[in-house]
Amino acid sequence: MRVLILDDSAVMRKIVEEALRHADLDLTDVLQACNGEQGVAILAQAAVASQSFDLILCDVHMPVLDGLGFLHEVSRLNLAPGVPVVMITADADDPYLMSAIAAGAQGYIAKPFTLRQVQAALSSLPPLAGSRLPPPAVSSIGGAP
Amino acid sequence: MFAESCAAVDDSGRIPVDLSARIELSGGFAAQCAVCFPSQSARNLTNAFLESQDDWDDGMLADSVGEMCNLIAGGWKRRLGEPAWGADLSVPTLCRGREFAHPCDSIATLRRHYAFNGSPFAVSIVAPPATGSPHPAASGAVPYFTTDWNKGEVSRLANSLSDEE
Repeated sequence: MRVLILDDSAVMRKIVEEALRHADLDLTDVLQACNGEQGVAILAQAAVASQSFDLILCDVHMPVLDGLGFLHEVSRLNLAPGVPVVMITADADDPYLMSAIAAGAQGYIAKPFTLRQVQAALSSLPPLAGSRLPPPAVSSIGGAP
Repeated sequence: MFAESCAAVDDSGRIPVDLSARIELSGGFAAQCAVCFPSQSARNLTNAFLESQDDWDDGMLADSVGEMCNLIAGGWKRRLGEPAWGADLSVPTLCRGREFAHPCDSIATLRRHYAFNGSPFAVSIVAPPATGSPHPAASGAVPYFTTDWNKGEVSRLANSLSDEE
């Protein structure tokens, strides 16, 4: 499973990667970007090389190009069509998050998150290649109580 | 995500400030949330986030402090509810060797000390009075510093970071 993680925090990118590994995802490649512009560049390079991604996790607020801007650019350039994008946010009430969902993101994970919340958020997506997660029973989204 | 418990501690002493991070709320609700860490607390925080022992480069220290500020600010905004609906959270701004100066027109500031595994740090928030409320300095009221905060909000938030449910 090829995953792209976008977050301006290197610590958060590492935490998210580890959470995915603990969530029974068979990760073969994990690429990281520190902002949306870098993320778009990675996807563009992958498209040229006929490589695809299976999952994208994207922070909402990043410098240079934020999560919403990334979604718009990906859509405009038709990069990674059909690849689910899950937003990561510290603020589940963020209006930008709602805009990101409207722009095509298929869910979000709210920080701080537990492993179960990550699994629940990913289980609500269409079946992911390389995933041993059970099929969705109840659609749920992560977030600390 | 952060399997450490956190508790409010006596805040009469002084915490050395080696790394600070600040996040601003804007867009109808102007406020700030800042955290201050001594370097050893920042190292312990990074080790806790990454589940490792100093196996990372020093750039991760600032990241960790910024991320902690992000988590606290996001949790505070969520618990504020209506006054902060629609407000934007900035990305963290970082500072080394000192705390951020509070804006000169700040209305109310609350500062608390916390510790996880013996690693102290400080959290301060600056918020305006509620619309129609008397100036908090006059009334003694601090409307946006809710009782949840006084009960150890950061402690509950930090506990919710644990991977154990």
